[in-house]
Amino acid sequence: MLPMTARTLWIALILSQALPAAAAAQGIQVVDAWSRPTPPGIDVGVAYFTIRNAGKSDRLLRVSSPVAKSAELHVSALRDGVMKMEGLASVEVGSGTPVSFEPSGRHVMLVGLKKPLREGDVFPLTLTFANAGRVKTSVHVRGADGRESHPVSGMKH
Amino acid sequence: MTRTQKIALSAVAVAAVVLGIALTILTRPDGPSIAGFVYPEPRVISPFKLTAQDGKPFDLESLKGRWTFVYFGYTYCPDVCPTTLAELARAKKLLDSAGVPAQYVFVSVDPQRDTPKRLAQYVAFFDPGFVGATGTDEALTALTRQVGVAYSFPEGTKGATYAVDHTSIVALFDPDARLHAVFTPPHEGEGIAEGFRKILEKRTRVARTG
Repeated sequence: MLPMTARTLWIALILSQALPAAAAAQGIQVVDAWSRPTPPGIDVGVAYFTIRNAGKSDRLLRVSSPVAKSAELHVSALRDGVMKMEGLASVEVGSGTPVSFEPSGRHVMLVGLKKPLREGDVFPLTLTFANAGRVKTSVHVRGADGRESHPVSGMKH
Repeated sequence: MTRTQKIALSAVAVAAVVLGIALTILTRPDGPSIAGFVYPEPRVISPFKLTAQDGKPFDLESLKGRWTFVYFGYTYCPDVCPTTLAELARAKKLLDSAGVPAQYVFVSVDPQRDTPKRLAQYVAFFDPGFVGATGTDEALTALTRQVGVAYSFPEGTKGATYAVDHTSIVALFDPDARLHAVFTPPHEGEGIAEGFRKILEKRTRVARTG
């Protein structure tokens, strides 16, 4: 009986891990979400990430996070040599084409941070898509230089 | 002069500088190659007077006797300014460790929100050696027009959350307070440090052979 129970547990465990992953692989995935620590006295922040879409074309409508009063979809764009920050009403996420939010490009501006963001913090961000609905991700606050200062130990690439 | 006229005038000034730069690049291909451009003849800068984070003047004299990197932006900027300042801090680290001294200045074009005190906290976050400076619109444009930097407030400056459009270059002044080179975005610490070293090498060569 015991081995049987153990096996059942294993199967249950594998299924519980595999099913959400399988569901996500068919639709929207938000990966590599990161942010910068905020300088003293500054209550605006940023979030960057990559959206992968293995399903039908979709559209990112809005973002929100409990750490800020509001979160806005922005793009920094060079226009005639001048850097402008423009609001985005929504962002198309085509099927199979990753969409990157990255420095000096598309980004989420966090307005009215409730407390400063510090290196090593992790905070939630919810992205709402027209078809996929709400997708949650965890945003990791990197060092001030924006580079990953503490890679996961034992990970080799 | 109305705000629109001022912006138009700034635009003309910037266009003139950009045209000058384009001609420079096209006619003098022998300069050191950097992520931006090097003036074949460094540009003499007319006097200007800003206020540094400690309340002291930041003017033409402040640029003399050392090389100075100047970036123009504002602290409420969530993306481009912190990205650039982080890369500039990286350039400083690389140059410091190679024993190459320089001064690094962040000029805020948003004096309404960026008081000297706020600037002091802000720049120190990126590097304790960074200097912050700002001034009135008039004081700022006295410098920005000469280095080809334009800035404007597309939705006005009411409330606490407005954005500022601004040219995102890093200007490099030589120890004679002349505009020597301009680094253009996207900025990268290694590229800025390497570009600066090329400029210094070229200058040393010219000094030796000339």
